[in-house]
Order: sequence, then structure tokens, then C-alpha cells
Amino acid sequence: MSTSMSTTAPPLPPGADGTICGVDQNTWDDPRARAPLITGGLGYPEITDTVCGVAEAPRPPRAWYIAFGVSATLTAILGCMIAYLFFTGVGVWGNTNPVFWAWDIVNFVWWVGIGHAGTLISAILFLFRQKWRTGINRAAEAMTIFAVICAGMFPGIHIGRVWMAYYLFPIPNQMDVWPQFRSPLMWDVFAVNTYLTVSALFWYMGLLPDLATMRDRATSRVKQIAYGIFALGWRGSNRGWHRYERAYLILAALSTPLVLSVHSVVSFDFATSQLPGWHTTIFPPYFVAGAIFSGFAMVVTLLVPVRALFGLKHLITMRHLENMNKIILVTGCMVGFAYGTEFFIAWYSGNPFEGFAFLARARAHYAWSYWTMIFCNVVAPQLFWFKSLRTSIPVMIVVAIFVNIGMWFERFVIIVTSLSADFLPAAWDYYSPTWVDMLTFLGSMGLFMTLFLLFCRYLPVVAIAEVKAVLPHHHHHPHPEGHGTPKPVSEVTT
Amino acid sequence: MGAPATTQEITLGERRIEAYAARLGPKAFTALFAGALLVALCALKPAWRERLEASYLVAFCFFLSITLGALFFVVIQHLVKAGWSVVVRRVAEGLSLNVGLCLVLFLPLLGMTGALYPWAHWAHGDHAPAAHDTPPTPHVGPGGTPHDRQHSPGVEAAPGVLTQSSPDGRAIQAELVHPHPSPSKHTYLSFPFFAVRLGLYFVIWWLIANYFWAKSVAQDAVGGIELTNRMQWWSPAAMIAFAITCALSGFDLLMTMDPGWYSTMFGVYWFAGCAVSAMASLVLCLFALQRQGLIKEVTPEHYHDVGKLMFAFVVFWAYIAFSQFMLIWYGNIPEEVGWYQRRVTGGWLGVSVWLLLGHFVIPFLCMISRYPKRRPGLLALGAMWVLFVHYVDLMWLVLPQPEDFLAELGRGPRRSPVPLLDLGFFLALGGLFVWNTARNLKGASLIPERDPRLRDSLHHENF
Repeated sequence: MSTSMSTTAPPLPPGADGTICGVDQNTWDDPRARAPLITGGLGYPEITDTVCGVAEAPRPPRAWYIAFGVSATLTAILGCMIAYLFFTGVGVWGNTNPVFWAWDIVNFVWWVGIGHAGTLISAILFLFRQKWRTGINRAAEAMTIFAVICAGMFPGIHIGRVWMAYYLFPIPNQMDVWPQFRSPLMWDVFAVNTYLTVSALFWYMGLLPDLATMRDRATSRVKQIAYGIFALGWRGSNRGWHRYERAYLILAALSTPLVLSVHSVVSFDFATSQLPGWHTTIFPPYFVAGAIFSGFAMVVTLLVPVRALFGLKHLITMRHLENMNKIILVTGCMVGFAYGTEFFIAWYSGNPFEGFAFLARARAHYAWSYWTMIFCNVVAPQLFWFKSLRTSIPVMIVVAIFVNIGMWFERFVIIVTSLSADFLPAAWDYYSPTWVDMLTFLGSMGLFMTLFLLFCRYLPVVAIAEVKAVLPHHHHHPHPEGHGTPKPVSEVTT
Repeated sequence: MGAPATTQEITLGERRIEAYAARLGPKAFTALFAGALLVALCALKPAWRERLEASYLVAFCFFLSITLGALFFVVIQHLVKAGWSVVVRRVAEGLSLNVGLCLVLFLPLLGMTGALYPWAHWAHGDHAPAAHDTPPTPHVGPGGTPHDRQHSPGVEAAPGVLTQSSPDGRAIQAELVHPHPSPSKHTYLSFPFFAVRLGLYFVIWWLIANYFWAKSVAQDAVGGIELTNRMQWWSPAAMIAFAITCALSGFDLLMTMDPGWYSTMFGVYWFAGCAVSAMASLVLCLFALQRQGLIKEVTPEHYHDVGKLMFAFVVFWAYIAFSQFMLIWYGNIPEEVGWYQRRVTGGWLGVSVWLLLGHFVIPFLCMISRYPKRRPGLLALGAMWVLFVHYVDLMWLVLPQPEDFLAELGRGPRRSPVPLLDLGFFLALGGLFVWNTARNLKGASLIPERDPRLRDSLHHENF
């Protein structure tokens, strides 16, 4: 950093002049201007063509078929594994005394966590006026819903007596028996279902104008009817848009506490217990930070290939990816901070059980999983301090996958290591998964990918209407990003 | 589109606090002397004198939390490259510069550790003087700390022995709470380490606050983008240093008052209080300055945004406070529940319930609409309320501790808070704080006049 103060201002970077940006480079930072969020010289019609073109193409790219084939196969395997589990019993999994919660719950928490990015992007970033969210919110919200579906499956199938699964819900029955409302597991059912409902509504409402666009552009009768039904008669009228914007704001405000509440309630499943390693008060915000961390990692993992495959690089630009990588870095640091706080308090408290639980994580049988977690979650994201690395596609893919792995191991560390060595040394045991555990988990990824690939094929992957709002000439105000002629300051201040 | 407007520099008229500061000074000193007098009068009553240190800690933590919250606000504006906040940033910078004053106010606390922190007696309990007005009674009050007894089965028999072996009641109390403090506690909770740690935090805060102040003010003279870039460059490191020191200062100043108690969330709880009180203070400062005809650049749009952040942090505080309470209550582990037990017995139950209403329900309902956030007068009222409840929150954190401490020594009954004493300290330290804030802002413009994002901020609109 030079110490001399330059008096002549350097020229503005390309694309900072408030007109449609014809260049691709938009990762510059200059305090005098905001970088364009749409590159490649795209205007209104080009945006519509680019996004709708993905779904309107007569056939998707070959890579899509390959990916779909793999995913569908994995989904079929998932079906087989669930059938095997149902017919044989939970004994086909590795769960055993004292580790009665294992991969099933690890997978549940992992998937719920991934399902946090979408609503964070569409709700919290909306409230923070982060306009870059428009390029990625549609795909992230879709991903959120699919991840929550995968998550919701696991508690349903791990209960053992699956014919009693309805008992997860407070359904009036002739036995007059109710679920335990004082149990956080019950709260979890409510939290996850509320989240799924609101996320799906939010996503669907946002889709309406774009579905209408697809309807109006559709050439086949079947598509016209299908998109027409789901567009709910959207005409793009002034009144329609007014209602839409109002509803969007309200749904954003309603979703914001949900982003925090879902993973907080998931953390209550553990933290309300008395088990060292589970019972710690920092769990709620720490789980939320971790959820956003893994959610963004999954969005990066998915969107990097999607933007390449479907030609969306001018809408999901490098700046979008860079911003997501920054969020990964921030939340990664928060997670690291929480790990540190837990260790500090375990030491400070002088409580031998707490101290044991944490030392055992780092040094006993499961140390490999603990250090995998630390490496993937705390060390790997530090690469993103460097701009060249956080704007490099190969690096971000590797780090995002590391984060996905690390966050899975975080839940494994919390759940399995704490249970495997609890208060009674005679009961300690080492947990190992079975092939059914592994294939079920792999199968859930197949289900997730299948749904996501179908979404990419049939629905607008980018929010067409929203993304147009960040085009430079959209605003008629004299200001925001420095377009138009600004009023002299004297006029403003008097 | 014409030529890009962003390249031209903006010059504003002078925005100076000097005249207002001159008028404010006498008022601030009146508050200081009135407060000091009140404290002195309260101290005449022996029962109240024992509360002096705790009340001082409350007032100190209150103004420290505002300072830290303002520091957080300044750093995060650079971290996220915010445009809207430029016109309110200088005032926040002025608030954050109170780190120096807080350090001065912290020094007396070093002499009070014996009265505030039971661990201060661990090391030298044996040779402490035995002069106490009341002989120590080993009996733990009925509403006292059940965990102390449950946690250590030997304690029921121990008191008599302890009374004979050590005449110092506080040492006994320390042993009652923790018959055998763990080695980690002995290491961490020692006076020298405490003083050095806190000193280090203050150095870090002082460096951050002064760096961002100096660069920001320097930019008023030279303009350009280089200083902004430099502040942005340093903001992540500053934020990390702030996060660690802020959490630790919460642990050190407040959590260690009960050396047996621990909660990983406590640092976040303290931070939530810092953030919410800083937002409220910022609103009040802006409102006060505008009433003097200064910084007219600040519009309802800016109040709206600061109000949103204040509202958000009120909710965040409630989220953190609820999570911490619920998890400890639900787990019901003897080591942990004692801390809350003390706050739901005696007069403190009312305060606890009142905090739920005053620190969450009432501000939540009153500030959720955009209406009050866009009306500076109403928002200032809300901000005063928020500061008031934050003060009560700190009393709730601090005061039950020494009361319990004293009750266990058999000196006096468990009392509800003595608002007069707290009012005195609030006035005294508040006078100093206001005076110092005005002093900090002297010699500089009240808005960063040549910040490259000033135009964003001047034309900022919520829509």
C-alpha cells in the first residue's frame, strides 16, 4: 500500500458509467461507482431470450442428460434403500447403542442447513438492498425447497415403525394420544414445515411474472396451457405489480425470522439435552451461521456449472460468485469463532465432562472427522481472502465442495462423537455406517439433483422480471448508482 | 446519459459542532456534578454503600456498550461498502472514539474487583483482614444458589470448618461457590491476567477507533478514493479483532461475576446489547444535532435505516436472550441454572418479566411499522426507551450477583435494585460521555464531506 496521496483521481473502471455494460469484467471495486450486475451488453429483450431460451430449447445439452441419468439412478437406489429399510428395520443401518442418532440425523441437519441459502438470499438480502441477489435468487430458492424435501425425508424414515409416521404430526386420533409438545423434536416438525411452506410460497409467487412470460412465448398448446395454469392469470398490469411488490416485501419480512428460526430449532434438538457437546447455549446462532455457510457453498457448487451449461454467464456473473464466496468466508469465520468459543468455555468452565467431550473430539477415535471438519470449514475458506482465488472458478468449486463436506462432518462430529462416548464409559462404542447408510445418503443427493435438473429444464432459472430491475436505466431517480444528473448539493440540503 | 456524475467531487458547507459543544458542555458538567452528588448522598447510607461498585459497573458497561456498538457500526460500514450510511458515519465515529474515556472509567474498576468478583479472593483469601461488621454466616439464603450446594455435596458440612479456618467472609463465599476452583479458573481468573486482558482489549479498540476516525477525517481534506480503499482494506481485520475482544470482554466483565457459571452464548448476548444501544445512541445524537440546525443532510431515509437496524438488533437481542435462557432452563443442569435462579427469585422475577416486555414486546410492537422509523421525534423517543431498557438489562446482569454475594455473607437482606444510586452513576458517567462525544467531534465536519460514496448517501431512498 503506497503512502502517498494521489490528488488526481484515477479513471473509473469500465462499466461504471451507468449505461448497459458491454464488458464482462465486473469484479472491480471503486468507491465512486457500483459495478454492473449484468454484463455482455444484455438489455431487456436479451435477458428474456437468454433465460427463456434454456427452457425453450428443443433439447437440453448432452451434459444435462448425463447428469439426469446419474441422478435418476441414484434416486432409484434411494427408493430401494428405503424399501429395504422398511421391510427389514432400522437394524440395516449402523445405528447402535449408544449412537442411536447417526447418519440419518446428520443427513437431516445437513440438508436443512443447505436449505438456508435460498431464503436468506430472497429475504434477508432483499431487506439489505443487495441487488446482486436477483441473479441467483430463483435457483437458490428452488435448491432450498429441494434440500428441505431431502431433509424432511430422514426423520420420517428413521423412526423405525414407519406405519406410525403420521404420529410426527399432531393429528387427532381415537387413542387420544398426542405428540410431546414440550419436545424440541416436535417444534422441529413445525419449524421445518413452516419453512417449507413459506419458502415454496415465496418461490412460487416470485415465479408468477416469469411463468406468464413463458406462457406468452410458448409455441406448443401443451406448454401454453401448463404455463398458463401456473401463471394464475398474470397480466403484468400496474395493479398486479403493485400487489406483487407488496406481497414480496411482506413475505420477505416473514421469511427473515424463519431463516433464523429453522436452524435454531434444529439446534435445540441437541442443545436442550444434557449431553456434553450438545448442551451449549451458542448453538442457535452458530447453527444458523453454519447453515448459511453450507447453503451458499451448495449454491456455488450448483450455479458454476449451470451458468456455463446454459449460457447464463452474463446474468450470473463473476461478481455474483465473488459475493457468494465472501459470504462463505464470513460465515466460515463465524463458524470457526463458534468452535473456538465452545473450546474456550469447555476449558474455562472446568467441567470435566465438557472438557472431556471436546478433547475427545480432537484427540480420540473420531479425531479424523474433527480435523476434516476444521480443515474444510475453517482452513479452506481462508483462501477467499485473496481476490484472485475467490474469482477463480476451479478454486471456488474446490472450496465449495470442501465446505459441503466439512459441514456434513460438523454434524457428524456433533452427533456421533458426543453420543459415542457419553457419561457411562461401559457403554462407549465406535460407530461405523453400513452400506445402506451410505447408499441412502448418496440416493438423497440423487433426489436433490434430479429435482434441480428438472427445475433447470422447465422453469426460468433466473428471475427475469427481477433481474431487469437492476439494469442501469431502470431507475428514473436522479440518483442511485450515479446515473442521471445529480442535483447540486445546495438544492438537496435546503 | 450525461457524463458520469460520480467523478466530480462534492463540497459541502461547514458542518461543525463547536458552537453546540460550547452550549452542551455546562449541561454535561451539571449532569456530572448532580450525579456525583447523588452518588455521594446515597453512599451515606451504609447498606447502599455496598452497592456502589456494582452500580458503577452497570453504568460503566452501559457506556462501554454504546462505544463498542458504535465501533462495530463504523467498521461494518466499510466492510460492506455501504453507501447509505455515509452521512451518519461521522457521528458514529465520534461515539466510538469514547474508547479512551472508557479506559479512564475502567481504571477505578481495577480497584473494585474485590467487591465485584469473588475470584479476586481466591489467590489471597488467607491473608485478608478479618474486619467485617457482621460475622459471616455460612447459611446460603433460601432463594440463593441451590446449584452451589447441589454441585458440591461436601459444602453442607464445610461451612463451619471454613468459618473457623478463614475469617474472611468473602473467601468463604468464594469457597462456597467453588470449593475447588479448577486450574483453568485459577489461571484465567486472576487479577493480573484480568487487568492485562482488559488492557489489551482497550488497546485494540483504541487502535481501531482512532484509525477509522483519523482516515475518515483526513479524507475531508484530501478527498479521493485511496483513503476509502485503505479503510476497506483494514475493515475485515478490524472486525475479527473486534469480534474476539468484544465477546471476551463480555465474558470477563460480566460473566465472571459468577465464576461458577458459564454460557457460550454470553459474548453474543453482550454484543447484542452493544449493537442495540449504539443504534439508539446514534438516533439520539442525530436528532439532537438536527435540532441545533446541524447536519441537515440526514433525512428521514437515514433515520429509517438506522431505525431498522435498531429494530433488528432489538429482535436479535430477544432471540439471543431467549435461546440462552431456554436452553439453560430446559437442560436444568445445576451448574447453569443458578444464574437464572437468582434472577427469578425475590424482586428480580419482576425485572425479568419486565425485561421480556420492555426489551422485546413493547419495542417490537411499537417499531415494526415504518411510520415511527421515518419520524425522527418518534424514533428518538423509541431510542430513549431502548437505552433505558438496555440499562435495566445491565442492572439485571450485574446487580443480582453481588446481592447474592452479600446475602450469603449474611450482610443485609436481598434487596431489589436501588434506582437512586444507579440514577446517580448514570447522570455522572452520562455527563462525561456526552461531553466527551462532543469533544471528539470538535475540529472535524459532522459528515464525511468528501467520501466518494457521499452522493449515494445524500440521495438515499428507501423504496
